[in-house]
Amino acid sequence: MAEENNNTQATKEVSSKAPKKRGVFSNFALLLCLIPVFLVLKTTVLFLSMAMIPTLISLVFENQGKNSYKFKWLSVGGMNFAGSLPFLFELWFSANTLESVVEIFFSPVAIFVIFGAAGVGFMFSRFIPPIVLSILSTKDQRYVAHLKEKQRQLFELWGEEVSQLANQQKTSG
Amino acid sequence: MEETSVNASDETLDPIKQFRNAFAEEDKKEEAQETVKETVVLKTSKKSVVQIGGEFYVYPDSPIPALDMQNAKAFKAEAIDKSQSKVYALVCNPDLPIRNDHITKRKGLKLAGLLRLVDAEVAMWPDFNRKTMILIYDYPEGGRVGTGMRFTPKFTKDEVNIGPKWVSPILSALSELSERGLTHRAIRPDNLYYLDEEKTQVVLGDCISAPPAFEQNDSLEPIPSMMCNPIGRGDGSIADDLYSLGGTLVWLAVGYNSTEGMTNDELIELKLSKGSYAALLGHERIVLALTELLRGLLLDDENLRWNTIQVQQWIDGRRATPLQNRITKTSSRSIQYCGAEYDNYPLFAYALMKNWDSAAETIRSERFETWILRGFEDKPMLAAINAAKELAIIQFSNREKQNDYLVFRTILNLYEHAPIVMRGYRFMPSAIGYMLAYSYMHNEDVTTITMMILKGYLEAWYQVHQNLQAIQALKTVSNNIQRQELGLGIERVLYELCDGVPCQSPLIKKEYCVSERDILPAIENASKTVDTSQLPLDRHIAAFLMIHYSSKIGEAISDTNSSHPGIAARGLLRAYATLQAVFGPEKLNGLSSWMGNHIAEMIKNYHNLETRMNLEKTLPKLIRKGSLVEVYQTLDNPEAKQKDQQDFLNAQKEFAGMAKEVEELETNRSKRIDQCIRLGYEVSAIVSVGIALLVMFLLLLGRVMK
Repeated sequence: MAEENNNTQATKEVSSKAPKKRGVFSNFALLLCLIPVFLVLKTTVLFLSMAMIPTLISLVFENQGKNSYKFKWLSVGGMNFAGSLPFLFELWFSANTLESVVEIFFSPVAIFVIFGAAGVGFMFSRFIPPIVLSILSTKDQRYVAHLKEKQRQLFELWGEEVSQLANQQKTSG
Repeated sequence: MEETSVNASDETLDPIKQFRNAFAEEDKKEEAQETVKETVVLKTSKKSVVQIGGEFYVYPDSPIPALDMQNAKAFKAEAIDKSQSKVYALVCNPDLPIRNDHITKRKGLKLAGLLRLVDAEVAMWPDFNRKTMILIYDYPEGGRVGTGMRFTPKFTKDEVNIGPKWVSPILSALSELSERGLTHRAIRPDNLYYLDEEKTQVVLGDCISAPPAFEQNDSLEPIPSMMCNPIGRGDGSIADDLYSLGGTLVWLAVGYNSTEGMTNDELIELKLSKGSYAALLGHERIVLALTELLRGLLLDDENLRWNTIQVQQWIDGRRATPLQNRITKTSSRSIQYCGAEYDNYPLFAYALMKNWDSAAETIRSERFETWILRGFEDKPMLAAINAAKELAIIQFSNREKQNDYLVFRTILNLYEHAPIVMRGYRFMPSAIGYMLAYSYMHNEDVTTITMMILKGYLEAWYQVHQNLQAIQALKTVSNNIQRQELGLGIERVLYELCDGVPCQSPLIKKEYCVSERDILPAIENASKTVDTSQLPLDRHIAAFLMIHYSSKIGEAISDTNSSHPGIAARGLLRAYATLQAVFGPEKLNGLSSWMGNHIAEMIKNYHNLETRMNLEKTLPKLIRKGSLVEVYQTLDNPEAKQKDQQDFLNAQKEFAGMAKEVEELETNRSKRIDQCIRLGYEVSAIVSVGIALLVMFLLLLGRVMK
């Protein structure tokens, strides 16, 4: 019996360590893949690294906070990326050098558009959830009222006895 | 919302009130009409004729005292179609149970040696102002054989015709009855008739109008039967009838009761000490030819007494010597008790029976033990009595009841043929039904009889007589007594054990119901006078129907015990509707109106309130039609009920589902808000990413267009 317990424990330990090993390995593999990509697409990577700074900040803050909804960075990121895209296209279809990266990115229009878009994304994450909540609450209230009306109709048709099963279920939990 | 619904249901769910209101006015009109009708009947009715079963007229103004029985008066009767032979009617005492088994098995049959029972019907008898059983018998043209206590001896000294003329017809009658599982128990000189005017045919008369041996002269009964209360003698056996035949022959031979002037106690003691033959004949001289027969018939030991074969052999001329009575063991020393000395068990047992109050003390005394041990050297008897003492303590906590039981067991041990005795109650176990019936019919308490059944008096008697089958049956009886539901209890035992007792319900007692078909018309009549707030079914009616018609309505009667008012009302209606469907009458306006007050609960068997309301509207109209069958079919429509039940279950499930949803939405509010906010973030993310993709698409499109 004791032997069996030991075996079970050992199996648990092995199984808990295995994912960690796989995680380290996969990260390492990813890094190995990214190095050639970075070398080939260095201008794009540099541009996006600078342009997507608001998204990065949002992601860091979101992960630090207690908020369990991990969608704010995606909202900021989506708009941030949308704002970056015209300038990225401009980079790709012009000289596509490190100098042109600096030139394009540091133009006031680009900074305004890229970070402004990120701001809009932030606004989205700030205002859309309350609007959705309000809409759904109203919908819920109307649904509850509808259910109660139907219950009342059943009550009128069948009397108090119709609620017996509901009461039993309520009592039995 | 809930309050509104409850109020609404209050109004719709109290149909009783609605019924009462709806019927109040209608009932008043009907009552008035009934009163008018009754008055007409009373004014036009003639006291001079009573019709029996549509076949006979009985004339209350024409009594025939010569044919009266002690508890039934004789009246002139005739067949309506004049085709029947001459008949007369015996009008039974409505306060006595009759012997219905005889009616069932003998009605209309011409049996040798018996006055033919032509018909038997219940009818309203004007002198009693209530219904009673009226028996129609063939008219005995030659009249009674022995009228009064004294008459001219019927046999001359040189009479040679005694066997064929006197014994043979009675023997035939007893054989006919025996074949049908019946006994006569009323063989006596004044119940013998000459059927023909020439007085050549002797027949036995009525034995139905009173309980077995109820009217018998004590001297004509065997000793155990003599010890009983007249009502407690029971059906007995053919041996008892043969004994009565012997006594009757003695009476007919001498022309008077040879024991005339003796009290019952004196006669019992004389029979116990000298034997019945010697006691009845005394110093009388009788026809020599009869001596052997009488010795055989008057043997006190039932097992030695002549049976029908031996009597037939005697008639045929084959003379046999009867066995002698077993000699009762006497003790060398006697015991003194209540001023007399006793030297044998049976006489002492009877002395204990007579002097009940001091009996227990004597049984517990040392001198009684000494008498048994030294006088009889009977250790088993002493052991049996000591066992009875212990049993009495186990059975009863009360000293007086212990004493009663001890005295009973001691008497039974000392004289095993003794009846069941408890103070004034003395009866054979087969008479328990008649004992109960008599008590009920005379409004006497039945507690003592009930106690005797439950506390082992009867069981002890059967144990002594080793009747295991009866002990088993007794257990069922005891169980029935102890159950208090309608259709069970002591009332059921009454109707189970006494076939001839009419239903004793206070509601219909006057109607003399002896059959299930009589019940509805009787209740219909009762509905005009009784308080209709009480149920039209009581313990007596339920028990009576359970016994007489259990096969069809037993289940319905059982349902009336349900704690659910709807099921109980359904049982009541179903029982009476079945009776009406089978036996009629087609219209029972009074009863259906009465039932209306009690079956409203049945509407609640339907769940749907609309259905209930519709039924509440329809029912008063149906009830006014007087057809319980129609009412039952409407209220208990199986298809409608099944649909209602199915729909109700679905509605319950639907309601429960909705209640669960409402609860989830109302009670898990914070969780729901969380869900909504999460959805909001998802939406904002989707919008952002969507815009990014749109921008990318537009830029690519722009490039392609260039």
